[in-house]
Amino acid sequence: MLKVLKNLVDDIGACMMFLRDMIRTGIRTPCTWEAVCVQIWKVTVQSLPTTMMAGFFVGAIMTVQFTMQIKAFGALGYLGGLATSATVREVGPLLIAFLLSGKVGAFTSAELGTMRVTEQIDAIRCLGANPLQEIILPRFLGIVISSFILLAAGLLMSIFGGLILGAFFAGINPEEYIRHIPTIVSKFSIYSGLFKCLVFAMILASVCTYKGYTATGGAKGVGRAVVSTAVMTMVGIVVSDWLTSLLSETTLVLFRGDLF
Amino acid sequence: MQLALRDVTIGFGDGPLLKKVNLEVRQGESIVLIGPSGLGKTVVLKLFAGLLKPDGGQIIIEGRDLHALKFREQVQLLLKMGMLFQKNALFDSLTVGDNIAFPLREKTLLTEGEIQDKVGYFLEAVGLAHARTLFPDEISGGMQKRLGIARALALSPQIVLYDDPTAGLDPITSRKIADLILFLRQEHKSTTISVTNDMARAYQLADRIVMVVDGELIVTGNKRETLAHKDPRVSQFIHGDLTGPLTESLT
Repeated sequence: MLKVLKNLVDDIGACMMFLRDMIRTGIRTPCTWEAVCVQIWKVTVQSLPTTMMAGFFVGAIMTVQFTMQIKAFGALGYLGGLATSATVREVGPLLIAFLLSGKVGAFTSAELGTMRVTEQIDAIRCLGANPLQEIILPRFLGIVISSFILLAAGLLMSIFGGLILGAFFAGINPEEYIRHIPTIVSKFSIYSGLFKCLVFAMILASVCTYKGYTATGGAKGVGRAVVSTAVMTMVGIVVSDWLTSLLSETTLVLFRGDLF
Repeated sequence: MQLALRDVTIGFGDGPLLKKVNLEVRQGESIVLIGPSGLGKTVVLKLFAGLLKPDGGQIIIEGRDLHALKFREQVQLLLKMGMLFQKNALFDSLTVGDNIAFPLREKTLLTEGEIQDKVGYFLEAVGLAHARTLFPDEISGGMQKRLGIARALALSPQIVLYDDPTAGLDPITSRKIADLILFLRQEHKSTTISVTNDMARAYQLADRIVMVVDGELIVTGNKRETLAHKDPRVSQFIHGDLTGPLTESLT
């Protein structure tokens, strides 16, 4: 148990140092926007259909769940606002993070791990280029930026899913469903969701690039890197979700009525 | 003296792999490293290429201690070097032409037209002009080796490191690769360090042969001197004898 804990702390420390090196490289020798755009395109295209489908069903699930809860209070009109608020603040960022972790995280880790064990990363260094600048930074930024695009797409689909289910399941007029969204979804909910999305994306991007970049031991080593990426990102996302929720709520209590 | 190892020690867990070894390589010289597998031939190349840092000692390139330099200075110095990796390490997402163009795009101010001309020249030199638009996994092992060589030479390095350039190739292709290395060495007047266990190729390529064994570097000299070398480990290795100090130490 102690050994597992020690390995985890070692891993987190090494990952943080890797992130520091990456940021330092980004400041001293930034990568090209062209390379970042290629990665944004890849990640977005790879995950958009899944995210949109999942978003639709999340909206539908929220609507079904909230309908059962609020019907008794005669507050069905607020269904759109409640379902959207929950998606923006919590379910959306978490869903995007889990989807990206399973798809993009595993893919990136395997891709970089293969490049490492086939010495392609060493070859980049030998050819006078910096692998952090050439292959890591564009992937890191691509994942972070794409997660916001995917969050927006997932959110729109969840509103659509909620609206359809609201009409069929609870008999709510779509116009009424949408009208109450701004009443309940405050600026704070949006900031909170965006902040969570940023934190989750950064955890995912750092872990998968770090694990792939440091993979050793042939095909088995690449497999280990992918599994390790999945475990570390899932745990990291859940723990950071708790921390960011705590931070959001504390901020809300401190500034309630002033800014939000 | 263009390259040198001074009292270099390096290990990976189970004690040092190389113990306080010294080696000097003159400009334009061709050194071939031979020796049993897993005893540090590739490590010597990676030390020169800056891919590994020694636990002790100095790596000298053109009179400068590589690891005493700042990162940017290190990069500038290492640009004078090209390396062919054991398994080629070709960029599998890039075409044959783009593999050679990669360092030119990264490290030179050439226009795209000039880059394409250079790519054409190198592909012609290694006999791969017809494969320019193919991907590395669409060409044969021998062609991949030649592509690796062309990429290593793209920035016209003064020092070229070849890690087992003929591994896994048939004798004829292997001979062709060795001829190509000699031709390119003459053409670019470069210093070369090669790793091989194919003694015929070692004699063909080497001005001096160096054996890596038991954590030391034994400079055996040219073909005649190597064949007449007194050390029983050298003689066992080059003749491929099953009995002798090397097999005893392994068992």
